[in-house]
Formats: sequence, C-alpha cells, structure tokens
Amino acid sequence: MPLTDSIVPTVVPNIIINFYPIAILIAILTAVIGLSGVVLERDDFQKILILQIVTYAMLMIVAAVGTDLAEALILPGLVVSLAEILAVTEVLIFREYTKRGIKNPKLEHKPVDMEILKTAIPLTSILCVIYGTILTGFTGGAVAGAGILIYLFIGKPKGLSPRFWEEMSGVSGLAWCLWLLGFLLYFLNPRLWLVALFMSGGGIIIKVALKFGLLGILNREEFNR
Amino acid sequence: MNEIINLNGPIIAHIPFLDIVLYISPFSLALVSVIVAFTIFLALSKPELRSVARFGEDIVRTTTVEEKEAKFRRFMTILCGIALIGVVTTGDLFNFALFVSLTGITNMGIFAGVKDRHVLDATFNYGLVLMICSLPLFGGVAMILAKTGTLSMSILANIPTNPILNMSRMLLLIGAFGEGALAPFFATKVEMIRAKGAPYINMMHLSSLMVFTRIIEVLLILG
Repeated sequence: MPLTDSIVPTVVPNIIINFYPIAILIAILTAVIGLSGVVLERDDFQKILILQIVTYAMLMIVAAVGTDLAEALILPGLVVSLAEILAVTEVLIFREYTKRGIKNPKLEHKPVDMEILKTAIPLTSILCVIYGTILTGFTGGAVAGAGILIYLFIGKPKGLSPRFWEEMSGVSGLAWCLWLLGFLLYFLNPRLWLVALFMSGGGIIIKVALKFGLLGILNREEFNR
Repeated sequence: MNEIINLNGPIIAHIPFLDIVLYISPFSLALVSVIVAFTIFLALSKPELRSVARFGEDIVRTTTVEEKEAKFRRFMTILCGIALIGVVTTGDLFNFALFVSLTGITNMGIFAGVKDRHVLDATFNYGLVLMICSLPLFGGVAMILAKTGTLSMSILANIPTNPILNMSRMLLLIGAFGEGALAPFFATKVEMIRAKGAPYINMMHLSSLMVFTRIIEVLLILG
C-alpha cells in the first residue's frame, strides 16, 4: 500500500516506496523505547540520556521521506534537538549547583577510563587520516578528524604543546578561506571548475579535520586552569 | 490560497527569502504589532522588587534580580519575540515547526537562571516535554511532506484533505501543545511563573497565546 503513489516519479522502484510504512513503524518503536525512559528511570540525568532516543525517532521520520529536501531538513532538526538537550542539561547542572549551594564549581580532571582506550592500536588513527585524505571533502575531514581524536585519546600527545594546537587552529581558519575562495572562483569563472573544486575540497578537509582536533585542546585547557 | 485569504484577509506583501516565503496579511500584521509592542515594553522595563513576608517573622524582605541575570533574561525575551514574529508570519510548514521549537527553547532560557529549586525543577520538566514534543511536531511536518510533496502553505491550502493528512495535523497539534506549554502540559508553566523578575516571565504567556492562535490557523489552512 504505497502512501505516496501520486507524487513519486515512476523511475522509483515499488519496493522503495513500500519501505516508507516500515520506516515509520520502526521510528514509532524507537520513540516508544525512548519514552520508556520517562516512565522507568528515576535519575534525571538518565532521563535526558534516554529521551535523546526520541529525537532520533524524529530524525528517522524526516529521513524516511527520502528526497533531497528531506536531506536538507535533517540538519535543522538535528540542530534543534541538540539545542534542546544542551539547554535541558544546563538547567539540570544549574539546579544541582543551586541545591548544593555552590557558586563557582571546580572542574576536576577525570580522564575517561575505558579499556578500549588502553588496548587500541595508534595505527587506527593513521589509517583514519589516510582514508580521510583519500575521501576529501566534508566526509573525509570528519574521518580524518576522528583519527586525530583517537590519537588524542589513546596516544600520549605530551610532546605537542597547546601553542602547537593553537597554530593548528590558525591553519584551520586559513583553510576555510581557501574553501571560500574556491567557491568564489567557481562563481566568477566557471571554466576553472577543476581548480575551484580542488581548492574547496582540499580546504574543507583541512578545516573539518582540525576542528575535530580542537576538542582535544578545549579538553586540556579547561582542566589545566 | 483561498483558505489563507478567507482566514486572513487579502495578503498585503510577500517577503521572499529564497524558499522561505513570509507573508503579511491584516491578521498577521495585527499579531506582529502586538508582539513587537509587548517585546519593546518588556525590554525597556526594569525587573520587579518583590516583597517576601515570611510566616512567624515580623520582617518583610525585598528581593530583586541581579543585574547580570536580568540582562540575560532580557536578551532571551527579545529572542523569544523575534521567534514569535517568525511563527506568525512564516508561510512554510517546516519553518513554522522550527520557529515554534525556538520559542520553546528561548522560553526555557528565560527561566534557566532563576535561583529557585521549584522553578528549576519545573523548567527541567518543561525541557523534557520540549524534547518529547519535537517528535510529533517535526514528524507531522515530515509526514505532510511525504504525502503531498510540498511544505508551502499556499499550495497545501488547495490540496483536499484525507485520513493521512488528518493524522499529520493531529501530530502537529500535539507538538505545538507541548512546545507552547498549552492545555495538558501547563502544569509546568504554572510552577515556572512563580519565578521572580516579573516583566520578563510574562513573555511565556504571550508565546503560549501566539503559538495557540497560529497553530489553529495553520490547521484550518491545511484542512
């Protein structure tokens, strides 16, 4: 029973149209799992964590439409859900401080203690960076950035001073300019599209990869104070 | 288009931001003027001085909001006003959902800095309702998009209704109820407005009123 028979182009196979009700059903099941958090959990923090699943169900319903427009709508939906969870978490933190009467909370350095961080091979990060370089573009930047993050977590990057990472963020800004210039060149002179493509593709991979690296600096600077 | 004109009167102007079609009709113009006047009134006013008389003591204490906190709340109030203007003027269904949820987040921001356990508890619960209700709100919009292939209200007004569209409208209604703290969810709102700093917290009432007015209009347009 295709829900969207009248507006779907004929080139789309019937089986894909029939996936839509299944996707909606799975999203509803996901939402039920998420909502069980409100009923079963007593701890407020656990409540937030499990309610986050409900927003995934929302993204699934949007993604089930499966057109270019739906792809463009996922990002605002994700941003809204992130903004909501950030705001709720801030309220929760502030409430706990108010309850305990603390004015300026002290942050303690508590390293993430997981077994996988000790046993993982540092080679994973190098592989991620190489694969990201082959991919290029935004996706490649994300993969390479994940590689840098793995290195920050599992390796011992003691030789790298915070100054080095600050210089890296400067490089990130310059790479972003390269990306913008590539776009500008494409609009000004479309015949140079190959150069423009390489400029923007190379710029965005460096920019996104180093943005992921920034998380490591923030982590260290926050706790060193 | 006919439904919009029947409800709103003749459309005075379009404001085309690429896809984002904002339209101004006599109805939305009236709502916008109310919002703008109310927001300016709140932004210019100073926080209240509240007198607290405690039972068993012969003292009346006067409390007020700190400067920094009042500034933050004023900022959030102005943001909420801007989001409400978006809610009442937009002609795109997805933007409507985005603006409604932005209203909810800014409402929460007004109350986030209040140093009162009850108010913070209520704000936290309101935030949980916001997170849950983003599912029916955006889900309803996405299902309308899947059924009709468009998000523009002026095109949707001409499409005849059917059971799936009716279900999507129902979801949209539930979502807007949660985000605007309307009928079944207003218990949190009643607790939240006990916060001190009177002028800013009145924005919550205005946003509930505007979201309610607009969601009814949207449902009538879609029908």
